[in-house]
Amino acid sequence: MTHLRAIPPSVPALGAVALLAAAFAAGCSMFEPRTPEDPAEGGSYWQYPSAPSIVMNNLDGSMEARSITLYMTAFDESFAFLADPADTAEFPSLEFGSWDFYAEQNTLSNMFASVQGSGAPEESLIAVTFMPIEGYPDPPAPVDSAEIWRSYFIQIAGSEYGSWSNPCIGKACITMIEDESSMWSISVWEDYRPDDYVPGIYTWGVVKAPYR
Amino acid sequence: MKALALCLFLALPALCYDIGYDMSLDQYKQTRSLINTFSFTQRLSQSVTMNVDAGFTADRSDDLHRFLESRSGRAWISWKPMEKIEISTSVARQIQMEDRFGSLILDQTDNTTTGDIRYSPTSWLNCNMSLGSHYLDYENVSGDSTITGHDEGGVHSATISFNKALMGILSTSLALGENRTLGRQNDTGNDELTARFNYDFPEGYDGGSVSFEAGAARMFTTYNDSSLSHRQQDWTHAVTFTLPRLLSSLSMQVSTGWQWNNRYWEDARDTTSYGDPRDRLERNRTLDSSIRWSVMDDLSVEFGLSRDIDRNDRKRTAFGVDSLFDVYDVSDDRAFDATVTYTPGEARITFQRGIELFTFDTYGTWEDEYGTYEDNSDRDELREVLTLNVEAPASERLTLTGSIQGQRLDTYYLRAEQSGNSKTSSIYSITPGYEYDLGRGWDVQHSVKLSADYTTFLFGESGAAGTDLLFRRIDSRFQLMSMTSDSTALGISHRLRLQDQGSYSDAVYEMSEKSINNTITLDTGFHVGTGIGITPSYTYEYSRRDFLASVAPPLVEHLHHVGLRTRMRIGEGTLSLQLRRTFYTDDRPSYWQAGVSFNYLF
Repeated sequence: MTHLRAIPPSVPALGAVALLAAAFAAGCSMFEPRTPEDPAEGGSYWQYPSAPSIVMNNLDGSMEARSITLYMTAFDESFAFLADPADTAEFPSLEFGSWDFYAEQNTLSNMFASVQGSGAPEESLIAVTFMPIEGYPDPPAPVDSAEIWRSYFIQIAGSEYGSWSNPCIGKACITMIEDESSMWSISVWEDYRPDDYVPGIYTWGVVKAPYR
Repeated sequence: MKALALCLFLALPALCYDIGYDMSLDQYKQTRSLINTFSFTQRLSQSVTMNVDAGFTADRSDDLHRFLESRSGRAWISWKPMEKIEISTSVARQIQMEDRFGSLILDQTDNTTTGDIRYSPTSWLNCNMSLGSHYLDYENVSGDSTITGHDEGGVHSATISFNKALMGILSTSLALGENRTLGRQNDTGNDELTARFNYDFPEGYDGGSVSFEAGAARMFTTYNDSSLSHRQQDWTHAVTFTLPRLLSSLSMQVSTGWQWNNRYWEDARDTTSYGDPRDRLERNRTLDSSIRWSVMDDLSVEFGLSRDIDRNDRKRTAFGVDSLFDVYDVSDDRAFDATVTYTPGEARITFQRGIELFTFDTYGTWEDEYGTYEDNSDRDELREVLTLNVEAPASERLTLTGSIQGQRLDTYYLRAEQSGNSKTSSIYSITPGYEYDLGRGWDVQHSVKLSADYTTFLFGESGAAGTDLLFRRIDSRFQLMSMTSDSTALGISHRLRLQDQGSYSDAVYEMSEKSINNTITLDTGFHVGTGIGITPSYTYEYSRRDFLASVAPPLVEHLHHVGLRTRMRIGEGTLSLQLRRTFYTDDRPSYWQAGVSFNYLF
């Protein structure tokens, strides 16, 4: 049997603990979150990103709605965009390096602001289609992280490399991660030229780099 | 590489040498990677030593039609003419190549030769100096164009370090370093200075100490063939104060730190002083405190309180506008943790309480011809956790385990544009389990985790908010296994994961999706000799995901995984092998997952 041996209480030790407890109790307001503003008017197509496929739907919808706020909810703060090495070699004047969460936010908000001034009809400003790639199905029940493949077809009104008449085409290997509240978001986007690449077709990385 | 081979050949006849070799080969689906490293050291005499390091890595992705290759080698001879001086000369080469779609798009070779002197006049002072040159050749191919280039220049570095106890009570460490790689196209380099002091309180104040650390670093890349140059400056300092022990069972520590990091690009032609969009100025302050108190032999309490404040200044562009705009964000992370650990006899009971508030605020605006914009991602995140873990032996063979956890995560987007996404997620889980020792190396382990996540949106009545959600999960793990120290396993294991999810409001649950993942593994390990264990294994995996709220067909997978693991000692080396091939029951092609590693030390 284990015998419990009590150490005589010490005034300084107990005082220190009491001081800390008192400080914590008194300082609970330091853990009080602020009150958010009432939401802006208007509906939303945004869905709770409980699966990687829903994140892609949110991405598609937010681009076509040109909402940078909802677009960025599809990305984790660790986000990194990795352009196709062939693009980085072919377009040395475009900046592809250090493409993180903030660079993505900056780039897409510039793009959304730009297309509004292109003069194109509202429904023809941005069109996005993501398609699964044959042989690379999404994992049925992913846990913590998932790697999914999508080919894409994107048109940006007024864009130098992805205009309505010359859409950008490519494929992406997208790594998603799940947070503690079961929300999925994009951590890494590896951009690739399409398998049937021919000169004159540009990837998503080339299309958005000029807006950076 | 010829120099490396020559050095190796000359070294072979000698008897006094050390050789190390590591190799690993991994394959997963259509990606394979190979890593080889080799090291060789030979003592030619009491004062002369010869060393060779070589490495080869390759990475092939068939689906991406990409092949990456890297080779590196370094050989050096060192001579100690007297005890305090060591002189060495080295030659190094690094080659990098990349193939895409069967064509070479990158070929780069970097050669470096240096002479080094290390001088240690006393036990507390070290000086290193190195001087040499480097040669770089590269070829970048893209489409019809090929860019070739050559660069060369000097290489030099110098470091001085000082480690000494002053007056017997103040330990001091100082280090100063300067490194430069110069060339016709660009110069790179860095300077570093660090200082550390530690003072232990005298007798009567046992356990107390103060330590102080400060550092500064400067890095640069100057492009001589363009007007752009990259600069980076870092400053850090930290102070840690450990209180003298008021009781032998009580310890308290307070520490604070500060960091300043500035990265920026300089363009000599730029007269606007706007800077570059890649510029970053990051500042960080930390404050941590902790108390650890052993109340009794088997009862201890630990408190921790911390605060971490970051400020990140950066530039941003606006489309169609030449100027850059200054924006920044400030994040404040406050955390409190309390842990009570009770260890009566062989049992262990741990209670943890944690609370953390993370706030994120953005500042600054930018504008173009259509309007003025600002970042609206300001948010507060409050996380509270309560956990109770129990591990209690019920008998000599049976141990009961259990864990209960409640967690709440509030995410508040403060601006109206995003506040519709504000939500509270509550996660509750209970994980009972047991471990039973069957004897003769066999044991049974079983645990079942039941959890539920409930998410409510703060502005549920708003059209911008999502629907309140409920997730339910069951994760069962069972294992009946005999495993030896070399990881040879014999037994069966089973894992079952069930999850469903749907909307939950007004006590009505409407399931929209459910999934199941079921895995059964049979390991049939055996030994074929001393130190050689082989474990063939077979796993059947079934996954199904039903989309109840849509007409989409369910996703179903049946997979068969066949594997082999082995590990054996060969002399002073170890060979380990893991092979797994996965077969689908539909017409999708099977794939390999394989890993081989071998290390050897003569």
